[in-house]
Amino acid sequence: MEKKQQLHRQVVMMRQSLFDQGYVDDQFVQLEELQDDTNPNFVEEIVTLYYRDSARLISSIEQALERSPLDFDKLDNLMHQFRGSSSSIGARKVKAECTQFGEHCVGGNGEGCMRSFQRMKREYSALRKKLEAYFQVARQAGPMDTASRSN
Amino acid sequence: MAVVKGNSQGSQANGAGGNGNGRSTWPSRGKGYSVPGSGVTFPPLRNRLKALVVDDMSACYRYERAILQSFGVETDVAETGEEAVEIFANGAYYDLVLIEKYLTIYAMTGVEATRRIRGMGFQGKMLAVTAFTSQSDRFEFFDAGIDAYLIKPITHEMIWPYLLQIDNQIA
Repeated sequence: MEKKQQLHRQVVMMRQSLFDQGYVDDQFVQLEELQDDTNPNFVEEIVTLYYRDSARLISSIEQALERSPLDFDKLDNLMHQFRGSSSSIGARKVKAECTQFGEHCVGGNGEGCMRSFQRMKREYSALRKKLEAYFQVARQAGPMDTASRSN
Repeated sequence: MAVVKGNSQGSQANGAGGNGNGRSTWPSRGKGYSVPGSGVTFPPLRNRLKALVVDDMSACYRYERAILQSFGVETDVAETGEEAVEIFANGAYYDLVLIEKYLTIYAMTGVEATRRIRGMGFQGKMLAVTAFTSQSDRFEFFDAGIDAYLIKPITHEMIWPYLLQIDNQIA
């Protein structure tokens, strides 16, 4: 029982850290609110789908950035999709980099796009590590009631 | 044939209440929806509404479907503009369509799909749901026939007024 309680405390701390360090925003809470007995793993499901979408988009953006001259419309469209997907899970820092990238596309700034893309990938990797660790501990801890969560 | 992912049992309700055009008019099974921790409660819809989400990002359509389902709205998904158009061409009925502007690159865009769906005579509510775009993008989408433009991610509070409006329009 004590181990369970320790794990629950750890889950609460890890969750709080996602917000405190700016990895996720209020949208993450929206996902949690949709999780219930009929959808007990909803948050992790959505995040897993996000990783799948993202892998495809990142690969497409990388290919598009290798072209010369750059097709800024195509890049903007791809990043627009990435931004929409990132916003759906509350990926705050990733979303911010997507916005930056979009601005560079509008300005026709290829160097800016490259730099922004690298930063976006770093934020994306960092978020992914954090979320994977969080879900792993959450699975070990098992379900807890909403009163145990803090915002 | 379009692959429709969703929870509907087909365009005609099974059991009482079909009104001949594929829309079920039976009472909603829902008990309303209370947003946890906020004290906000949405009353149950009177009718069983049916929605189509058109988006090729699985995290997005899964999320939007969950929001709609929490209101008791039967929700199908089409991942491309072509699928969405084919669904309507096959005679399916929906009360509401949520459609993303940017679908699979160089395939049919959400704008074109909207134009074609409206061209087929669909008069239900169509909402663009997309990440932030320019004024000219919005004009293009409105010109194609959407009724409103929502920025991702949608919330219960954002979608509720449209569901209520549709629900109130059904006798």
